[in-house]
Amino acid sequence: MPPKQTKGEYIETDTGNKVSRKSVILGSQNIILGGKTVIQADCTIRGDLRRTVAPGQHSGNVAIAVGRYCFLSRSSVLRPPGRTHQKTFSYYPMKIGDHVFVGEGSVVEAALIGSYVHIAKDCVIGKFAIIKDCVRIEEGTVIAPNTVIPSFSLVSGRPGVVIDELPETAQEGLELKNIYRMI
Amino acid sequence: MPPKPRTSEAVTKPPTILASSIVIAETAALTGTFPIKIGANTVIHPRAKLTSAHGPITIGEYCIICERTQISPPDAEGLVIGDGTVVEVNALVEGSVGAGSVVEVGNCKLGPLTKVLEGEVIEDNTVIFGSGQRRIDASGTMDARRRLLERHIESLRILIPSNPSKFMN
Amino acid sequence: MAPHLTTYSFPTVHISCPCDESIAITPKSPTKPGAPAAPEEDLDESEEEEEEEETFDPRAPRSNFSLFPLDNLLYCEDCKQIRCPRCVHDEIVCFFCPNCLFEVASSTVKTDGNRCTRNCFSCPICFASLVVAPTGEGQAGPYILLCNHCLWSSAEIGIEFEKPTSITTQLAEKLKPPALARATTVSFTSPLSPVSASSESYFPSMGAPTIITPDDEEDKKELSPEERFLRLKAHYAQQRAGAGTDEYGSSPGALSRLMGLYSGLGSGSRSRSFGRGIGGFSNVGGKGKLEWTEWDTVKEIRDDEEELIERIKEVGFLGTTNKEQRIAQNHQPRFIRDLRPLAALLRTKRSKRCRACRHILVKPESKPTNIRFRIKLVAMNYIPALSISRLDPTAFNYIALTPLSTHQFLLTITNPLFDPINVTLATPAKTPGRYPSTVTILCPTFEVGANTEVWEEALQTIANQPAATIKKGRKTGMLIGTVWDLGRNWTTVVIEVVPPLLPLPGELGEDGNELATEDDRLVQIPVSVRVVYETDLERDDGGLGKEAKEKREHTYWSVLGLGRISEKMPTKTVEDAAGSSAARPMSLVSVAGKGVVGRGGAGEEASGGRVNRHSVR
Repeated sequence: MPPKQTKGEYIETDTGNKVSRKSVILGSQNIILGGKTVIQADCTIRGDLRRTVAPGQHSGNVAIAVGRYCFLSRSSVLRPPGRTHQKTFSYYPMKIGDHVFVGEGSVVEAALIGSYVHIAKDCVIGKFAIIKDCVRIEEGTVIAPNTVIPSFSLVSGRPGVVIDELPETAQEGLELKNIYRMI
Repeated sequence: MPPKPRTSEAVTKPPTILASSIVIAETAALTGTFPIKIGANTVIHPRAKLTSAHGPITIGEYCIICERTQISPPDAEGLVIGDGTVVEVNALVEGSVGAGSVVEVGNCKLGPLTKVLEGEVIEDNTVIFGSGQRRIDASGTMDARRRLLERHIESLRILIPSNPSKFMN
Repeated sequence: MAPHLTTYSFPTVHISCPCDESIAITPKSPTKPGAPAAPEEDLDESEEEEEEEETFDPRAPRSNFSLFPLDNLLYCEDCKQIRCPRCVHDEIVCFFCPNCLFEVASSTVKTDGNRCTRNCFSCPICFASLVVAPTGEGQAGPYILLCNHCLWSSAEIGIEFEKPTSITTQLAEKLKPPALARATTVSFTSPLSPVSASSESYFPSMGAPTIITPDDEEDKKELSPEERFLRLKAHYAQQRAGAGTDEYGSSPGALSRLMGLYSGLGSGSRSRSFGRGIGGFSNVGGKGKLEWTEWDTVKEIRDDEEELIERIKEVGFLGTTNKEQRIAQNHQPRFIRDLRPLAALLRTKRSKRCRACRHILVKPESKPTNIRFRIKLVAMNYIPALSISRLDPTAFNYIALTPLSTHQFLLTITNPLFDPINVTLATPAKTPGRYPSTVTILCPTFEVGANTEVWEEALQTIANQPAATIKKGRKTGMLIGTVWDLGRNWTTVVIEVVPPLLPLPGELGEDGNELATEDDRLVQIPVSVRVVYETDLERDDGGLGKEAKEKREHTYWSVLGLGRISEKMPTKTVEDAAGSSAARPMSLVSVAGKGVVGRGGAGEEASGGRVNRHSVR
């Protein structure tokens, strides 16, 4: 649980996003925040790494889309994944669902993260990983590139593998509404 | 709206030798007193930190230094990053010592969150993965990866506004 | 599945499922759940302290199997009882591949096995998922399976694919040993063939084990599991077909021969004496089996080993597999070179039924990627949830509680029901175990408000913010008999705990065992929670009970893991203890005395049980 923040640390947007003044957000025109999302200090979001399929085109490119009630902890990094396809390298958009928690110092390069996903601190989510809804990723996990994690999984290890199933109550347990209210 | 990134003002501007074809973001931080040399076609992401306070830094050609990396040689011997190296997000490089996140040095691959201790020499083609397991890469994908890297750099050229003049002296 | 009580993430709250006494075939009366879990200990205790007869003992060996976090528990509305993963029946709703998320029909699972038959493989070295990567210029083939984590590739074991699709078929084709190809076509030069051919050829063949001689080149090679499987499959298929006609089904002698064959197979399962076994089998009379085992031990293990040693010399230690890598493979290879890509194991979605009344408790949507449930009766919607924290919000330290000093904890009970509930908490004054902690619940009986969900949004914003200020104003809650704090559907009371002073780690008792094990250092408090409430009668019985209220009650045991007792003595006691052990506080001496004298044999049993607990974890 994060401690109460001093007033003025966060800028609140019309849709209720709370973005720390000390966060590093690059290419903000390519980033969509769904609302009620918290971005803590020192958090880096690389919206500038957008698709390069049409060079020179600047608008209409979403690099990172984040849903509602997400929580990006201190020093976490969101970075769209990139790969070379048919002789051209391009970054691909990253989509994050609702109620996604990204722990302190974690680096996320996933292609898709569903809703109700908890990524503990110091994790590395490899390029083009797909994490479905209701997944808990334990501290220090390294998820290899291109990995798919199905729903209701508990993931741990380096590389991260599914070590257990989450109970039916996982969705309730992973809700982040309360944590948003605390900020 | 998100805040504008602060402009990082280098306290002491180190002497730099920058190849003309490099891509270096304005918010990269080059500090220290020893010379920093960056080879051709290398990309320095925003907010990468290169600190030459204790020794010179030499970065080869076709390298990518990602954001939030810290490259700081611990002594006057300095450190050399060979050609075609990708230093991934959050990596900490102190000479050929200490690796934080994903570092790909030469033909080696140091996996995420792995560590290389002080004074250790890692042989060519070593892969360090998991929680410190090591193996020799025999997949033969080296050339392919190098080709991919070059394309990667080409696209970053478009994406990252470069401002080498800021670091010239 | 057992909760890990020793993982040092305190505080923990576990709830006991009463099913450990009996997998209730009849719904249990809810008035008396959680009777003593360990009868042998209870015998002693009941003589000394009558009132503790029914105390749930979290240290009892069986407790591990009945304690679950609330999240993992279900609730059967018909039995009005908690259901844990041990007392529900699982029924598979669908199979799917965790990698490509495609659903697999259960008939396919039966025929093709429990693995994905598409392109989903995991790395035999590090178990990350493999990708199909082109090796040629551009996207051209040949293709390999490549691990992006440790860079292992199928090229290392000399396997490349012509096309990037249907890898499973291509791989099976490439891995098919030449012997297997023959085995499937020639069908039976297999050792089992004489047995299965027909009854006439069967008996003569027994005297002629020359069909496959031990010197046979092919026989030298170990049978791959696929080969063995195919042979057995064909063998049994044939046998089943012939079962009606020959004497197999009727003759007891044939049956015993078959049994002998099976056990023989068991003992020599990984040997190529498979063939020679038939030789042994030829003495089918009385000591056939005996001879079989002798043959087995005689087989040239030496050559084998030497060969192995040579290979190890060649590839070095790094070329050998580790335990995990070996186990994951069908053929348990010793060398990295013999590893194969692992086809992804399928996962299931399951519905769950109450074991007692067969009602469905959980029914997920059948699509693999859908996370919704059609039916979901989880305990957290029926029984109040407990949560615990230190009263002093600055005290985060749960893993080193100071012995003999009073620690105050806040126990919060949250009501999920739409009716207000009356809660009665009960706990033994001293926790079970050799070194009991003293526990006092300052306010054991109180009311918790209803969970009026409709107003939640509106109230939460108001109620939550000033919560901190309310708390400060309510310090009078420390008085006995009053609650500490309360909110819309939650109430907080104070629990005081005095952990005992334990012998130092390594300090040994008279019997040479350590006086205080790691388990003794954990403060685990059993709390019985009794909930009484009135609710509107359900209308389905005629609709006349519009005004009728029904009184319901539910009691369950929970175990609060409050923390771990510090090794350090309180400073003044350390000084005293150096002088003489008599300086220790009286309470401990008396407890220790009781532990040794009063329990006698039970102490040993308990420690035996503790060993079990460790192995269970």
